[in-house]
Amino acid sequence: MTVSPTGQAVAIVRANARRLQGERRLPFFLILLPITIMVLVGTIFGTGGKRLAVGVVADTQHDGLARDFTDALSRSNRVKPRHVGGADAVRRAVRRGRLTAGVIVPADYGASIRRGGDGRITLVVQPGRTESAEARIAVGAILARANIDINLAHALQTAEGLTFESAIGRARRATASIPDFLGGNTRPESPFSYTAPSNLVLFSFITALVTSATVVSSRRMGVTRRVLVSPTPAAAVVGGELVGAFLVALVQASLMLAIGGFFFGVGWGPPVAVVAMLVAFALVSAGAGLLLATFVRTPEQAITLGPPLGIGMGMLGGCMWPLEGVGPVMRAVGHVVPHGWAMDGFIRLIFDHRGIAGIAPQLGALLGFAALLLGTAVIRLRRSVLLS
Amino acid sequence: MRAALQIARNDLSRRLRDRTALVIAFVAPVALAGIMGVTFGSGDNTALVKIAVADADNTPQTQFFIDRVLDSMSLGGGVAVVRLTDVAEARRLYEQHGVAAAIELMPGSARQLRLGSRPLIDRQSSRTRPLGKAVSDGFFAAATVRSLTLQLILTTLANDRVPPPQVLAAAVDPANSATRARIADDPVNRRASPLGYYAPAMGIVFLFLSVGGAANSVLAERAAGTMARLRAAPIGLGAVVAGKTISILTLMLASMLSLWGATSALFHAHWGDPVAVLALIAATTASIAAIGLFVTASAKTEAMAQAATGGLAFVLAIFGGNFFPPGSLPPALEKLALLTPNGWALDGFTTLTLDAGRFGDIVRPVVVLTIIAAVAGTAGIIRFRRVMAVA
Repeated sequence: MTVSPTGQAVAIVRANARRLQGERRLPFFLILLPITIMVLVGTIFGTGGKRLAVGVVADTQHDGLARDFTDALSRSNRVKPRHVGGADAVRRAVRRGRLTAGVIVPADYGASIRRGGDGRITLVVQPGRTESAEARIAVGAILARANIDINLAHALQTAEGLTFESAIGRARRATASIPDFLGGNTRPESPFSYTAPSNLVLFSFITALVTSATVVSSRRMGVTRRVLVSPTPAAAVVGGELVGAFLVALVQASLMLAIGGFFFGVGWGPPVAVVAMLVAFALVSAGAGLLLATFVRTPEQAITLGPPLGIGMGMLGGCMWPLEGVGPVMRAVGHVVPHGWAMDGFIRLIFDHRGIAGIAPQLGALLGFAALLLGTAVIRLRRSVLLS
Repeated sequence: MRAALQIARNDLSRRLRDRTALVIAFVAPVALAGIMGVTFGSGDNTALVKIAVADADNTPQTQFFIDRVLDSMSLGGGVAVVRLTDVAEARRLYEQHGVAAAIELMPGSARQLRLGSRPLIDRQSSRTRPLGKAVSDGFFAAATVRSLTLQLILTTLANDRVPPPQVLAAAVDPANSATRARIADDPVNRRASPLGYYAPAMGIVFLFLSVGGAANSVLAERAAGTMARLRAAPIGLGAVVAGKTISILTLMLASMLSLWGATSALFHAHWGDPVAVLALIAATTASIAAIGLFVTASAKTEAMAQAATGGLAFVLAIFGGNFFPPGSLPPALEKLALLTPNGWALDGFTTLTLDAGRFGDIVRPVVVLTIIAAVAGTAGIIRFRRVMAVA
């Protein structure tokens, strides 16, 4: 009975799958590690509902205006005030990153404003940190709202000769209908909306690189040579390896997608567009994995080099932090690797609610990467198979 | 001792011929730390984002309105504002990522202002650009509050007739006010480059991968029969163990020292007081080498050892905080991090680089790491001797 080349390729895929099933490391790298990282990163840096920790030093016992200010901070859904012992403690906590920013209300804040002077609040920030700048905007907005009452009170004092306490009371009653600046702003997405796609991209790529060790292993053990002795064409061998690599990447990506959707409430977007992204990126990952297999000599080399290579490309492509927060040069560099395009595509689907037409440039770029990587890998793989 | 050094030299020279080991020990940590360094910059106070504010009417009223709203927001040096008169240009800049958000005062805004209403504002922003979105939301809210305030004064308070509403309206305008609560920035940490933290954080992960690779070679040698031949020579088992350990430690120390040198020379990273950095590197390397030795000596095969050290590298890195910015772990996880050598090492490196600490400030992490090294190292060497005894 003769088997068609397609059947032979399928047999190679099955044989590789059976070898992977016996691989005890796979559940760890395929399931446990990505989920742990997704949960941790999502909890720490999630895009939804997180308030920025701001340290506060203020004499709220004796200074009514300072108390009003800290109360307004507590009402904000952007910042979460934490009362800290003193100015040095705030500076140290901000420096070490435990607090996003710090607010030091001077002891004479209220007295100075009552006298008609400035109430100069010190904002401790970490230069270069985006969250610090975000906290600054929230604190600035709260102060701007407070200034309306303060200035109105001074105007009433001047015009009617009221005491400051009476004037500020009247000013507050007059402006009671004016909301806090950022009071109603909500952030509805799941906190995992960014970390789920970034982990999908990161880990499906790393898994494809690491599992390329099976291709190297087949070559090293002489399995490929023995198969070629049988009436199996080189194309079937290459095709089998290619389909196997693609399926591994697709299974990993689909698993991450399902976990993100079912357990963490990530709204991935229109199914057709999501599937197109998954398939395109699985093709890219398979191409990268097969290409790595043609460069390394031992399976251990593939296993050792895969993670740092994948992490480096993931860092560049926005899997570790959003490319929106980096400079234009690093943003451009991020699109030299496929990860940048994949992240852009998923972000458009999840955050901007685009359809398949909205991600056409990203899909096109990914398919271009896939063609380049798979093409080069197939040429090199075919050559190595024929030479083996 | 001579025999141990000879074994170490031979082991090291073979390891240095392995290009994969070189990549893991020297190239990859520098490359990844470099990416982080270039991405996060030098930590100075240059603008983090640009925001476009387009004024389609471009009248004195709309310009004044935008000035006052921006002034009331106290944006600080982290936000640069690009003023335009073309809404389409603002959208183009936003689409092409030239700005993090676009705020557009649409045609008809000047008329709205004359009527005492809020101008017509459109915004282009995304939750994936959080700072841009915060500015855009802030501008919209500040504009709303400003319009509401003026309306309120002109209607409610105008009923009192004293003082005249125009006087009150002028008084609540921040531009005309001498008294107000202001922000005075107090930037901390201006000197330190974030790479002073990220480079050792990354180096520690690769120390685990290096120790895994190095210790694996011992198992490979056992399988290949080299160990049996070494034991046939007139040298003690202790010399073999010491030689292998010296080789592993030297490679790991060289890895961390080269990372320190490369990031300092190429990216001006500031790791802190050199004596303290050396002490911390030595203690960190010893503790990780000891753990790696113990794990590898407990494994039966090379594949198991590789899986165990690789997995351990990632698990300890995640819970130790290596992949996250300093201080970003929630309090409970921060405590959990101190159950890992990574957590202690990073605590020490953070003290040196961010707090400009000296040797006296990192005694605790150095002592804890040394204890870990002693305990895990002793257990590892006992197991290692057993492995070689059966070789």
